Amino acid sequence: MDIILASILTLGSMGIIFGIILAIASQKLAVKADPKIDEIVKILPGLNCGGCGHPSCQAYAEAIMKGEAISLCKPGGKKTLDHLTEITGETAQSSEPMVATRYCNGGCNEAKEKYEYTGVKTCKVAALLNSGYKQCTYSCLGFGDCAKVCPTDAITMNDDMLPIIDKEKCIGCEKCVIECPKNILLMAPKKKRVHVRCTSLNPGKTVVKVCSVGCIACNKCERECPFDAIHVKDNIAIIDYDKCTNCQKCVKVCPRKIITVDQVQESQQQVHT
Amino acid sequence: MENLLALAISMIFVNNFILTKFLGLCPFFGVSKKTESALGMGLAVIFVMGIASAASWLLFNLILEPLDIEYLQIITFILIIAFLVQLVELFIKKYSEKLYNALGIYLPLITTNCAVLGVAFLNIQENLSFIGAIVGGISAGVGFLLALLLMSGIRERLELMEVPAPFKGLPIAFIVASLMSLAFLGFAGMI
Repeated sequence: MDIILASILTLGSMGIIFGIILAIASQKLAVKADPKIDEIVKILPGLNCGGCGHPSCQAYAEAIMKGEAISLCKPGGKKTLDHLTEITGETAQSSEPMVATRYCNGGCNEAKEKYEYTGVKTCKVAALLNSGYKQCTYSCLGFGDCAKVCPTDAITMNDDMLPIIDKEKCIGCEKCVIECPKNILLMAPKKKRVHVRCTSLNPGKTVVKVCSVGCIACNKCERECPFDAIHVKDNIAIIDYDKCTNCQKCVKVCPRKIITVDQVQESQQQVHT
Repeated sequence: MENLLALAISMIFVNNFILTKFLGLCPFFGVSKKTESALGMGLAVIFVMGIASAASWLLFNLILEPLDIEYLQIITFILIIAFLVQLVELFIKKYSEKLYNALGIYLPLITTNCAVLGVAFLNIQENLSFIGAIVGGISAGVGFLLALLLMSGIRERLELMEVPAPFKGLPIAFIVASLMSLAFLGFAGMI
């Protein structure tokens, strides 16, 4: 009986004493946080995507109060920027919204396989084994590492084992860009719809052997472009998005059909016409 | 006095908490990326271990033993350590925000750090005097700091090394830790 009573009393009084001391200490040692931080946190999207370089929206809010630029939040876009301008009084140029774009059309039907891969089904692991199981070393490996890291489920894998990016859902956090071991996901302006879906720097002869949708650097698009926006350099056609006007002349002329118009936009266009 | 010195050396090198007893491995990997935060964490642990061993010694010898309720030591020690860490956190937040940010989540994690609880138990087990318990606690903390500092120094250099891609980051850190642990085995039998 004594033991029971003693233990109850000891633990109980310890709890009460510690509690009281902590309560007093937290009052005396309270740190006043800037109320603006809470305001900013409310405005930020709260996705904690990390695209701004800070671990969370809370951390970014604190960083803003310490002088961090207010234009780093990509998911928030213009609306968030306007609100932030109101609160902080800083002005910042809103940058053009960027979305992740896939620069490869080499799905399992187009790009030939080098060997049968039976390992762990992630691109990261597959890429370690002799630069991946595709004959083209620039090819998409199709295990959807990008889809797994996407915080807004904007990326889905299609039947051809290629990631399809929903431009409307993409918040531009660049997580998939960092994740892709083949570096075929890159950021491109949201408004631009014409992309060269290949990053292979191999000469045309090699490309033809390994993939049916690889750029062979034939220069036809470069000659066709009326705006001097597309250039072939190092065996690959690259579009200068500052000059591109979505005129789609290069799309028609490309013999390999690798310059394509965004599918989402295309279907919307069809609805309009 | 000599006894205390021997105790301190044994706690720092021979029975190093991280590298020979494998206690407190979470902060060992979590906070050892930068020397600066490793130093902060190590100092915080020294401080917490020092007062935790003093407090737990007093608690055990003045309350638990006379009342014959030693079986409560686990729960009471956890309680007292959690309380002390909370208090330390409040102090650090108030007086050094830089250190608070550097420690981040690892300061609350000291609460559940088995190394801190471990040193409190060891002191009781070894039947140390009050002074002995404090010295034991502080030198265990110094050993912790030493291991953390060594590790952070190595990891800072590792960042610049060409490590094979699969070993980048934590894997190579684990390999380094095991080699360090082997090296510390060399101290065994010194005392």
